[in-house]
Amino acid sequence: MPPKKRRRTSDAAMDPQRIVYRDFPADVLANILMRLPPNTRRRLRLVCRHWRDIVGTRTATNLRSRAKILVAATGTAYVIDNLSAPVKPRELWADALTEYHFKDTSVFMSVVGTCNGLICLCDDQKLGGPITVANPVTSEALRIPPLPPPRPGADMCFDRSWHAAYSFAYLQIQIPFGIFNCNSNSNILNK
Amino acid sequence: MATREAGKKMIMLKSPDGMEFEVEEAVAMESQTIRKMIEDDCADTAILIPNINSKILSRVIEYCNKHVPTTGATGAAASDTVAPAALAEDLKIWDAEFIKVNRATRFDLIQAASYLNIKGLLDLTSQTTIDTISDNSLEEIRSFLSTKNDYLPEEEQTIRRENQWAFQ
Repeated sequence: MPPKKRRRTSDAAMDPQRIVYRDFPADVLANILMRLPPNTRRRLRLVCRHWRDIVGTRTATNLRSRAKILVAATGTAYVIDNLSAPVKPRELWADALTEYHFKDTSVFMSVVGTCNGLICLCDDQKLGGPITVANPVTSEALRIPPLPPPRPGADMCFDRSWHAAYSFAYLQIQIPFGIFNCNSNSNILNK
Repeated sequence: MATREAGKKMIMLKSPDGMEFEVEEAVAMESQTIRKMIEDDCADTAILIPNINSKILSRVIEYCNKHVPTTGATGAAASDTVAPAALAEDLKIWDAEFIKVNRATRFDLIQAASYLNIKGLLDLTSQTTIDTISDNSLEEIRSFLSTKNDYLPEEEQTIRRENQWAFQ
């Protein structure tokens, strides 16, 4: 392999601002970016197209590395963005669902389940309360058309825990699984 | 260390600008790339390092020379006189001093460490760069890299939207 013509280090040393890094080999850059937390890496896609492409293709941003921790507590749920930093967990309801006027009743929202980055919530305030699928990343929320209410007392379904009657899962055959696909969602949700 | 004087096997490393460096085989083998060549018997007496100039190569050898006793076969001899913890501390200080170079040199060192596959040096040089990247704004990173924001406004907007939550 013939040696690649390279810029002389001594020139660059004289004018450090003129260094051009675009000839930085992609695998070297990928190696550096891999050492950063996924969130920082995603932000760095904004630097330029080259970086975006490397982050997208060379740093294995798979579902796992994007996964965040969701803590569901009574009546609320939090997303923890960064375990290693002392950042306050983000409360989902307040952020994602404000415009859906759930704020006042948020104490009654319970998590049915999470799947593919979507979170499914059920209003436990009353029997057959609305069910919502929210995407914490895009702040979008989708109200699911009303489902048949669960029978009280059945399947460990008690007052204020109606969400336990439902489950939320990914159905492999539904190829365009998305937040806009109401029908498939309600099929899935309808236990 | 009697063995060092007693004819250690030496390896000649050649840079493309014609300089030759004679180093102990153990030092050269800090580089996994060179180790592989030696183990596969691809190395005669001289190894041409095709894309690393003499200035950078000499610094790389300096690094390997310093680091070989703790990771190489002579580690036991070195720790006879100095406690391992103190030795590690000493190396850390030495590393910090070693990496005080301008950006161009540092990036050349990263590329060299990557090509020669010297993990310690790659970690050291990359970490320093990461510290720079993490602490600076996007604009500072671009100017640091002499690169331009080549996004169309709407493309940038799309990524920002995707990142909306990553910022928090």
